[in-house]
Amino acid sequence: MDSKRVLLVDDEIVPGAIPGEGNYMWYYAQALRDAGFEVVEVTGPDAALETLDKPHEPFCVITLDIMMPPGKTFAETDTQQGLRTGLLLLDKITVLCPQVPVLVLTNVNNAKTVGELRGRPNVKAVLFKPDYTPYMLVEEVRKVLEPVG
Amino acid sequence: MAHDSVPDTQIAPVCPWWDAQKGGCYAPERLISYKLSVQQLVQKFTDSLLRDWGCRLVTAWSLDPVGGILVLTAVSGADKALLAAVHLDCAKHLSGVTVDERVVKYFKDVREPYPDGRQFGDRDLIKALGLRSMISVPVLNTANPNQVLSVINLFPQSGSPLNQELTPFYGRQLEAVGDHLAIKLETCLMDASVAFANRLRIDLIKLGAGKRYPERQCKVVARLVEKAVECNAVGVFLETPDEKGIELLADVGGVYRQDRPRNAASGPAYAVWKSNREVLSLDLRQEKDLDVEVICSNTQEHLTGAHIALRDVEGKPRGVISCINRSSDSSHQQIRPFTFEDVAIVSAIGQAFAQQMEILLADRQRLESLTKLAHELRVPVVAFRAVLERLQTECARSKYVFPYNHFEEMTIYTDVMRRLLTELDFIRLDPARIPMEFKATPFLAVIVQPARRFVEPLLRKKGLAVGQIRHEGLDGFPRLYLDQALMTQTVFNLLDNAIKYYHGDRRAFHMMITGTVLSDCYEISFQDNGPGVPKGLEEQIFEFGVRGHAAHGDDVAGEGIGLWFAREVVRRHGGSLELRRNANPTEFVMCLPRSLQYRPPDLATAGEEES
Repeated sequence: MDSKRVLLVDDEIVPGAIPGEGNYMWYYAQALRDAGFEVVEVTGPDAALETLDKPHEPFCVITLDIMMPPGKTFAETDTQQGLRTGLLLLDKITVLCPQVPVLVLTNVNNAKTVGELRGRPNVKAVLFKPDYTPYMLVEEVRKVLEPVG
Repeated sequence: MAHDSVPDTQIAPVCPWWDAQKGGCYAPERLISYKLSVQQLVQKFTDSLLRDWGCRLVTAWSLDPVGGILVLTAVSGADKALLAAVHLDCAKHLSGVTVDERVVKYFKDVREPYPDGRQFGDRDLIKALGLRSMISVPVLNTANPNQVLSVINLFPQSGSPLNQELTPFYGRQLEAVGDHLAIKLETCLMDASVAFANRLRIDLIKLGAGKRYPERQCKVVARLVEKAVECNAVGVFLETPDEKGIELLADVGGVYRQDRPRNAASGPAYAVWKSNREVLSLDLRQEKDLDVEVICSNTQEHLTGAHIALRDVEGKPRGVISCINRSSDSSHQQIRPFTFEDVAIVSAIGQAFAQQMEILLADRQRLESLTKLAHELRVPVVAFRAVLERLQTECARSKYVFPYNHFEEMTIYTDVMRRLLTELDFIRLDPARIPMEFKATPFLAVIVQPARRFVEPLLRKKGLAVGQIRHEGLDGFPRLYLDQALMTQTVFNLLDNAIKYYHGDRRAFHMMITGTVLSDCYEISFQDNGPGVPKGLEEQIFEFGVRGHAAHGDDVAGEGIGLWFAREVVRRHGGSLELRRNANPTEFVMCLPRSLQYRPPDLATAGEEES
């Protein structure tokens, strides 16, 4: 895959915020940029689907948070207090861009959810945030993009 | 009273609903204590009646719960030799009172047989004792006057005031005698029932253990009540969180979901919760004089029920258990009415349940707080690690060198925070719900070496050096499928424990980690020369929240979680963690199955020992 665009979906992202303004996801995005990736940061399901719905340059990887507010997209759906928002969004992402590998980057440490995620063919890894620093995420993205074999 | 006014002699079955196949209204376990209690109590009672009422003979017949018939349970006034020759049988002998009338009766001459041929007593006995008249006193269930619990027959002596047609005064006196025995019997039965219910409470605790959600707990209770009082539908209502009403959380028998709304803002269960009292619903036509609230209207005459408030330790109603019996036919002859004995049993179960619910709710609140705290803590930990990593990179880029290795120190501490979060997850969740990721892992390089690094701050604090922790044999291990983060934490906990509690000569401290390949497992032994584990605590130290005696006296931080966590993790790998030696040296042994060389453990069976 030639693209070096990464879509970062996480409700902790504060659009336009710089370090010192309470946006720790900046460090993850910056580590990816340092590694030569173009990063598009979106804060939740509404923004993610808006980005993917309209014509766009392809993404090489999507990183996805799991526990997020439902937004307008899932306002009428039972997201179990946001715990399943990421899973529901993943369904839509799978339909919109089935070929793009997804890395789940989450604080959700629940065997059932993690098991469900690992069963999805486009989910390449489930990364538990406290275990993965920004540069470790970069390594995981690189691993996903490595040609098979 | 003429003999032709004596009602039909058919005594058995007294209660048509008493189904012999089901063992009567009393569950089989309750039968033995029931019979013994009745016999002892009634015998004492007939003895005192013989003395107090100037009788020649007093006999008592009591309801056999299995056969549903009256059987002779006590005789006072006849000597043992005479009684040995007499066998009174309700098939041959009249007990005196019939089911239909249930009032005190006077029989003028018991020497004459009843028209159907049955005698009032054994002919020899009547002759030997010179019996003439007889007063028959029914003992009726106070909650259900259709149920004859016992019949007492008094054979007065010639000079007794009872030896004549009953006056209203003596009639009332004798009714009171019957009521007195009824209350005594019911109290006695209630005590036996509460003892029985207490045994059920143990079942309840066993059954309920580990069930985290009130709905499941309520289901357990509903089934228990159904079994205990043999009713055909049970509903368990609990107070809503706003304490303004009750809602049905579980039912068995299926009456409620069809006929009633889940949230009860009216109806009998709601009324019971609101008024905080028990209500018996008696499906009887003669219920006007009963001192209980009757909740079934005439239109619902095919239902009988008992509604029992669930009270917390302060006596405040927190819910209701409703037991319902439905008739299988329109004549509702087969409905078993509930008794106060049933209420006593359900109340005892309810009380245990209400207390358990309080513990459960407190536990839930604790878990919710922990969950919230764990989630809230993750964000700063993740953010801190991210910022630290960036800072380190930017310093390296600008070639700035600090005089001390602050970054390493900060990295170690953030790592401690991260690992504490993992332990927090183990505490708040069932360990089986912790996701695990197994990767082929070199044990020494990826598990032991990082764990040694993590204990460095503690080693330095105690004046010890990392070189005092040695290892051998581990480099001979193949890669094993392990959850790297959890296994590193496990090894860290074992090292940390040894170092934390060491108070001897700094230079003398040593710890040895030895790897051995055995035929069925990879054995990793952790030996240290610390104070050891007191005898008798070998297993307890692996329990949650348990610390060794020595640990309590020391100024050593700890919550008794480390070894519990370590064992849980090893079990989830399909292995075991044991204390092999208490002291000199203390030795913990971890065994990991050989199969981990080829594949991750089967989580369905790993750790099943503890579940």
